[in-house]
Amino acid sequence: MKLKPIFSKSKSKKTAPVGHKKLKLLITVVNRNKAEFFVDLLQGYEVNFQIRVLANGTAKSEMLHLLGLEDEEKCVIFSVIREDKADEILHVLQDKFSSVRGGKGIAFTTPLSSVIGVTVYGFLSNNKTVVKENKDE
Amino acid sequence: MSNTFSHEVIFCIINSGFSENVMDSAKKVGATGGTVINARGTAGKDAEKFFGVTVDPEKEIVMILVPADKKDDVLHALYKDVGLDSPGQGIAFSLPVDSVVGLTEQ
Repeated sequence: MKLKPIFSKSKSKKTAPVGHKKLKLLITVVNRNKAEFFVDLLQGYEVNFQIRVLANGTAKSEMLHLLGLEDEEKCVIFSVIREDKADEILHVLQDKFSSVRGGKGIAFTTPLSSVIGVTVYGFLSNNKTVVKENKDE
Repeated sequence: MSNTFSHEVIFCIINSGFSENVMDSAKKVGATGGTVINARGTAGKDAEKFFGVTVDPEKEIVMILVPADKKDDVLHALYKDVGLDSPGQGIAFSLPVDSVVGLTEQ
């Protein structure tokens, strides 16, 4: 299935296709002291909505050493991302997990099946055209 | 687009203090680790009266990422060990996961 990217640099604004990209929920589990870093990182990828929740890991200490994780205090970041950005974001996260000291973690995405409200959809997908068109009508 | 997912994430909502039981139960059938989030339940007061149960508002949500082929076993184990009939009064459900990064191979 081939879809044209909606944010392609189209020459004429009027004919720019307004695609309706699906949304995904990105769940990132990282050490608590690195949560701020990852929230800031994700914000750079058109992510408008993120929730940060304090949590605890359950792996026992010998297991933590084995996996190279040190902290039991975790933070879960729930972010709503656009489907077409998912691969890019996951790549960046994978890169940061291995390169940042103490920044090990896991991240995964799960599909969102529905959203109600055009403004809400526009906000979550950072799609300003959708909201604008709706206002014009 | 294929509908096969390599991993699933299991959410288990349980009374506070029972997260270890959840992990013990899940680990028996192959889960490796989980993340515990503190939460607060909101059961309707009327329903509580009608059914004659008290719902402890203090909850824990245990999030466990498992390979898709282990999902059924884990859900089944949770249902048996920490289900609604147990003191933990747990409920569990799973969501499909389409991509994962950061998992360490074991």
